[in-house]
Amino acid sequence: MAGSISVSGRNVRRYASVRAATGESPLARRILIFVALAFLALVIGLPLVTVFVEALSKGWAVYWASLTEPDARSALKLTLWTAAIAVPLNTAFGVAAAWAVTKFQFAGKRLLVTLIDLPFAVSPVISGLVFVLLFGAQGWFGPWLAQHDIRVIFAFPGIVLATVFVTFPFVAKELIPVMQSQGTAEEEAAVSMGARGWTVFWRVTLPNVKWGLLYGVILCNARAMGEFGAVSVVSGHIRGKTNTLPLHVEILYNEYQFTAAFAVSSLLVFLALVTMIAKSVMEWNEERTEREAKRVEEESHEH
Amino acid sequence: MSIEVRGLTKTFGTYKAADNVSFHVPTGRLAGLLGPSGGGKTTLLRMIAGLEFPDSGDILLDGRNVNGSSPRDRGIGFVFQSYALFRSMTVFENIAFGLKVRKKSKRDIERRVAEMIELTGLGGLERRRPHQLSGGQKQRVAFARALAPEPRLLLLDEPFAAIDAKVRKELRIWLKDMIRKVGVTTLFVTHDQEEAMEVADEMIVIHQGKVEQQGTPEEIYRKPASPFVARFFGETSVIRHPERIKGFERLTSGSQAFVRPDFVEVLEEGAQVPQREYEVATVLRVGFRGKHWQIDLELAGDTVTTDIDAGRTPPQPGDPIRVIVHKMYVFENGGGSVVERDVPSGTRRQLVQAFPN
Repeated sequence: MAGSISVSGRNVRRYASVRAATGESPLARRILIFVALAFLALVIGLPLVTVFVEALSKGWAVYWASLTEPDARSALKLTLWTAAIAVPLNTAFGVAAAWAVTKFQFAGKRLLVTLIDLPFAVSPVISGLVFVLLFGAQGWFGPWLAQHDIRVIFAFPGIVLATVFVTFPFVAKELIPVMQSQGTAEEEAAVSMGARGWTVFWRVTLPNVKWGLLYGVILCNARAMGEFGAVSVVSGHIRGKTNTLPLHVEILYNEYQFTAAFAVSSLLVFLALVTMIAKSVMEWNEERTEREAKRVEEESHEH
Repeated sequence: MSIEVRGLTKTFGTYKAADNVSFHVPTGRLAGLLGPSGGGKTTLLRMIAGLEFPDSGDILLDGRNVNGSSPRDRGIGFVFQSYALFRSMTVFENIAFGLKVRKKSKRDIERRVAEMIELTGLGGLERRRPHQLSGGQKQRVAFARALAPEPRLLLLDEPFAAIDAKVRKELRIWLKDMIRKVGVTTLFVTHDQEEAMEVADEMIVIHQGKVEQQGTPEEIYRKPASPFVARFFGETSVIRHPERIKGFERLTSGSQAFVRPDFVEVLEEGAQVPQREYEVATVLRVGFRGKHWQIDLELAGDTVTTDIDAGRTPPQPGDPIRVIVHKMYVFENGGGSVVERDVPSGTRRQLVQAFPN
C-alpha cells in the first residue's frame, strides 16, 4: 500500500513541475479554452442541435411520420442493404490488405498502399462518374450490359459499387498502423509452437486488432450509409427505388419539406454520434490497458 | 535432442548473418551462443527453429536433417527476446496454446498447464493478461509456454535482455535450475559474457557470422582461440609491442598480444626485485571496485588494466609504479597461445599473487 501512495505522490510532483515549466498564466489559459469551446459550439454544436430541434419542431408525431412514409422507408432500406454488402466486403478486403502489407514483404507493396489511399484522394463525384463511364449506357461495358438486360447505373448494383469504392480505405487504414506496431513476433511464437496459417490468423492476429478492426468497420459503415457524392452520380434519384437516405434528405430539402428533411437527417446524425462514442470507447480501452501495464511495471520496480 | 549445424550460410542483401557456421551441441547440454549484437546469433537460432531458412548448409536434430521441415515438425520450444506473449490471451491460454494446436484433449491440456504453472511458480496469475504482468513474470510465462508441449530442444533468444539488472541475476539462476530440472537440451543467445558464463555449460562464440570458438566457459576464458575472443571475453588489454616487455623479448614484433588484469602484477613499494624483471608504468586512473582497486596504467605505450587487493594502499594517478607481466595471450600467423614470461635463471621468487594457469 505504501508503495502505491509513493507512486501517486511522485506522479503528482512530476505533473506539477511540467505544468510550471510549460504553462501559461491562468488568464491566458482561460481565454484559450474559451475561444476553443466557443468555436466548437458555433461550428459543430449549433448545427448538431439544429438538426434535432428542426426535426422535432412539429412534434414527435410528424417526426415519426416523416421517418415511416414509404419513400423514407424505401431509402432507409436501400441504405441498409448497401451498407450490408459494402461493409463486409471492405472488411474482408481491408483485413487482407493490412495483413499482406504488414506481415509480408513483396513486390508492389508500395503500390498497394498507395492504391488503398486513392478513394480518399479522389473527389467522390469523380468516383461516381468513373462507374458511369464504365457501366453507363455509353460506357465501356454499357452495350454488353444492355444486351444482357443488366442494369448497373441508376440501379442498386451501381450504388453498391460506388459505395464500395468510396469506403474501401477505412478498414485497411485503421488496421495497418495497429498491425505495424504489433510486428510479427506473436505470429512467429504461434508458428514456433506448431500453429498453421489460419490458426495463427484467427487466434493471434485477429484478436490483437479487434478494437482497431471494430472502429474501422464502424467508420466504414458510417461512410457507406452517409455517402452522397458518388452515390448521387450513379443513383439516378428514382424515388422509392434508388434513393438512399442522404439523397432522400436532399430531395426533401429541395421540396421545402424542412421538418421531414431534418427528421431523416437526424438518423444520420445519430449514426455519427454512435460512431464517435465507439471511437471513444476504443481509445479508453487502449488507455486503460496501457495504464494498467505501467502500474504493474512500477509496482514490480518498487519491490 | 542433439543439434548439429554444418556449413550454415545466410545472407540478407549484403549482410552475412551466418557464414559457413558449424557446431555441435550434444543432448542434454545447456549451450550459449555468445557474441556482440548484430553478429548473427539470433539468425542462427531462428534457422534452427525453422523461422528462417538457410541459403546453404544443413541443420540436423538428433541426426535427422530438418532443412525442409516446418517448426511444427521440429519439436522445439522458442522463447523470444521480448517474449511475444499473446496479448489477447490470459496466462493460462498462453501456456495452453501449443497444446491446443496439437489437438490435445481438454483434460490433458488442463493437467499440463497446471503442471507448468506449478513448475514456474505462476500460481494465482492464470487469469491475468500479459499487460498485467511484471517483466520477470512475463519471462516465466514465455518459458512455461515454450515448455508446455514438451519440446526436446529449447531455444531462447536473449532471455534476460528485457529485464531489470537487479532481477536479471535472480532469473538466471532460476532459469538454469529450471532447465536442469526439466533436462531439456537448450541453446540460448546472449551478448552478455557474464550471463553466458553463469548460465551455459558450453559456449559458442559468434562474431560476424562465424564461429570463433566453442568450449566450456573456463576453456574459453583461459585459452581464447582468436584475438576477437581474447578481446571480447573477460577483461583484457592489448599489448601492441609484446617484444618490448621484459620476459617476452623472444616474441616477434607484429604479433598481437593481450593481458588480463591478473597477468600483470603490481609490485609493493618496498619489494626487492631486480630491475631486469620489472617494467615501470605510469598510473592513469584508479578506481575502487569493492574487492579490489582497478588501476589503468600506461605500459610501453598501451593502456593496460590491472588490479590490486582492496587492502593495499592504491597509487595515485601520475605515479610511476613497478609491474611484472607474467603471461600473455599471443596470436601470430593465425595461431594463438598462452605465453609465460621467461624467468631469468636463479631469480625465481615467490609471487605476491597466485596465478591460475
